[in-house]
Amino acid sequence: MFDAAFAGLDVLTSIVWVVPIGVLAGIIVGAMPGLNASGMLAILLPVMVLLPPEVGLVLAVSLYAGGEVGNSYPAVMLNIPGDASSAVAAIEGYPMTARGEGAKALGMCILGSTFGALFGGLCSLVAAPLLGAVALYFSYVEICIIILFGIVAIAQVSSGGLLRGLMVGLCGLLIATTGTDPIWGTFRGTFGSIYLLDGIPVLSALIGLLGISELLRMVEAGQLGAKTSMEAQAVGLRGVLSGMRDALRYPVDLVRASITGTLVGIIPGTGGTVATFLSYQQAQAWAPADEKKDFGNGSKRGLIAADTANNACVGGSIVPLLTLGIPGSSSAAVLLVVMAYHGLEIGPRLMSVNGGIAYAVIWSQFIAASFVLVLGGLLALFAYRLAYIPVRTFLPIIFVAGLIGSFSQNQYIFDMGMMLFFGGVGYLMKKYNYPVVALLLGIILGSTFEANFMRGLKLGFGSPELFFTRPLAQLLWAILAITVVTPVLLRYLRGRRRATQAN
Amino acid sequence: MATGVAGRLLIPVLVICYCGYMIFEQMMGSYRTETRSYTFFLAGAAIVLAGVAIVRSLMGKEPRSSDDDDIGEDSAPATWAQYRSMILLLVGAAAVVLTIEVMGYLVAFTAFIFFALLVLGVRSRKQLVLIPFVTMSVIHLLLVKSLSLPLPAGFLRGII
Repeated sequence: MFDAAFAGLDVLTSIVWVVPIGVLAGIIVGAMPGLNASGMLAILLPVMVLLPPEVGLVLAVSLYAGGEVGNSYPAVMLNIPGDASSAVAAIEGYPMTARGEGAKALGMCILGSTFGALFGGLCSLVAAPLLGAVALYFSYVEICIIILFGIVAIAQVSSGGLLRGLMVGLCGLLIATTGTDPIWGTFRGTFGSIYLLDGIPVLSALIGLLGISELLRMVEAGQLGAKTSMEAQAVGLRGVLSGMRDALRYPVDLVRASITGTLVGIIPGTGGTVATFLSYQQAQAWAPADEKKDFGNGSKRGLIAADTANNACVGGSIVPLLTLGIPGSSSAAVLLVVMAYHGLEIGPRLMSVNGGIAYAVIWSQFIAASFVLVLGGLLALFAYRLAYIPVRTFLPIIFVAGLIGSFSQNQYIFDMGMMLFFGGVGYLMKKYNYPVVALLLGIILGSTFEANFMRGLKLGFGSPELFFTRPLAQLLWAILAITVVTPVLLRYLRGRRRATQAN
Repeated sequence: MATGVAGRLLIPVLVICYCGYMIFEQMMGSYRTETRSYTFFLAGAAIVLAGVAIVRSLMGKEPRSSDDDDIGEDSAPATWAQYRSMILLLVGAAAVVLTIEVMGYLVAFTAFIFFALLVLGVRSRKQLVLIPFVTMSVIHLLLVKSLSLPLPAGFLRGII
C-alpha cells in the first residue's frame, strides 16, 4: 500500500500542471447556470480519453472539484443555482449578497469547499478500502432513510408556518412523481405532455422558484439600482478573506459537514444534492436557538454546511470507484468511463494492479483543494463585483442566463417555459409568504426518495418491515430521531430552566 | 383587503387542483397499488393541509412575514408602472419561448434584452446597443461555439 502511495505521488509530480488548469476550467464552466460537474465532465470526455490515463483522470478530478465550487458563484451572486446541489448556496448565500455581504459569502463557500475537499481527500487516502466496504452495507432502505433527513428539513425551513411548509413540501414530493414510475414504468402526472415523461425538469424549477421569482419581486418593488452600495467596494478582497476567516469560526459545522459529505459520497446513488441537504438539515438541527431564524435568510452555518458537504462528497464518491469499481455519483461515472477506455483494472484489484494511477488520483485532490482556495478566491474578486451593477441593466442578462440554464439540462424549449411557470409560482409564493424552499426540497429529493422507498418495499416483498429490522436502518432511524427530537428537547429544558431561574 | 385574501387563497387552491388532478389520474389509470397509495397519501395530506390553510386565511389567521425578508409582504405597495414592467417582462420572456424555434436564439435573445432594458427604464443608447451585443457575443462564442450547446438557431441555421 505504501509503495503504491509513493508511486502515486511520483506520478502526480510529473503531471501536477494539469491540476490548476482543471480547477480553473471547472470553476469557470461550473459557474455557468445549467452546466454542472457531471455535464461538464461528459462534454470534456473526448479530451480526457485522448490524454494518458493518469493525466485524464487527474484532469477529471480537478474539473470535478472546481465545478463544485463554481456552481456556488451564480447561486450566491445571482440567486441562480448551477444545479440542485447548489440550491442551498442560493437559499443562504443570496440573502447575504442582498445585505451587501456577497464577497463574504463567496469567501465562506470557498473555504468550506476547500476544507471539505481536503477532508474527503484525507478519508479516501487513509481509509479507502474500509470506506469502500462500508458502502456495500447501504441498501435502498438505508438510502431512503438518509434522504428522509433532507426531507425532514422541510419542517425546519418553514418560515411561513409549519402548516404551509408541510402543504407545499408534500406538493413538491407529489410534483416529483411526475413522469415515469421508477419501478413499473407507467407515466404519471404528465398532463399528456411528452416533455414531462422524463419527469419535472428540476433545474428549470430551481431557477424559476429561486432566481426568476426574485427578479420579478425586485421589479415589483422597484428595486432596480445596485444591490450593494458603491462604498462597500472597499471590502473587496477583505470581504472574501473575512468570509474565509468567518468560516473558520464554525469548526464543528465544518467537520460535521465534511463527515456527512464524505459518507454520503461513498454511498452509490446518492451524490452531492443529498449530501448538501442532509448537511443543511444537520446544521439547522444543531444550530443555537437564536441562530435558527437565520436559516433561509442568509445563515452562515447553513451556507458553510452545504458547500463543505458538497466538496467532501467528491472525495467520498471516488472511494467506491477506486476500491470497488462502483461510481458514487454521475461525475464519478465519467471517471469510470475514462478508466475503462484506457483498460485499467476496474474493481478491487485496481489498487494492486494500477496502484500508482489510483493514488495519483487520490493525491491530486489535495493539490486541487489548494488551487480551489487560491483560484476560487481570485475569481471571487471578479464575481462579487456583479452586485455593484445596477439591477436594471443586469436583469435581462440574468433572465437570458436562466432561460439558457433551463434549456441546457434536457435541451427542450419546453423547459424554458417550465422555468417561467415556476418563476410565476415562486413569485406568488414569496408574495403571500409560502416557503419556496420547502417546495424545492420536495421537488429535488422526491424522485430519489420515491425510487428508493419503492425498491426497499420490493426488497421486503411489499412489506415495510425491512425499514425497521435491518441493523443499519435502525441506527439511522435512531440518528434521525436524535437530530429531530434532541434540539427540541434541549430548547424545552433550557426554557424551563430559564423560567425556574426567573421565578 | 379582498385582493389580499384572494391572493393568499391562490396557492392552496392551486395545490388542491393539482392534487385533485393527480388523484383523479391515478383512479382512472391502471396503476399499481404501491404507486397509487404513495400518490393518494401525498395528495390527500396536501389537500387536507390546503383546506386548513384556506379556512385559516378566511378566518384572518395569517402567519407574519419573516422579519428578514428584504422584499416582504408588508413593503410599500407596488405602483401600476411597476406591475406593468413585471407583466411586460414575463410576456417578453414568454414570447422568446414561443418564437425561439423559428427566430433562433440570436434574434430572440437580442430582441428580448433590448426590450427588457427599455421596459426597465434604461435610456442610454450606448447601453441599449452594447449590453445585447456583448451578451450575445459571449453566449455565441462561449456556449454555442466552444461548449457546443445546441441552442435553436432558427432561420439562421447554417449561417451562424
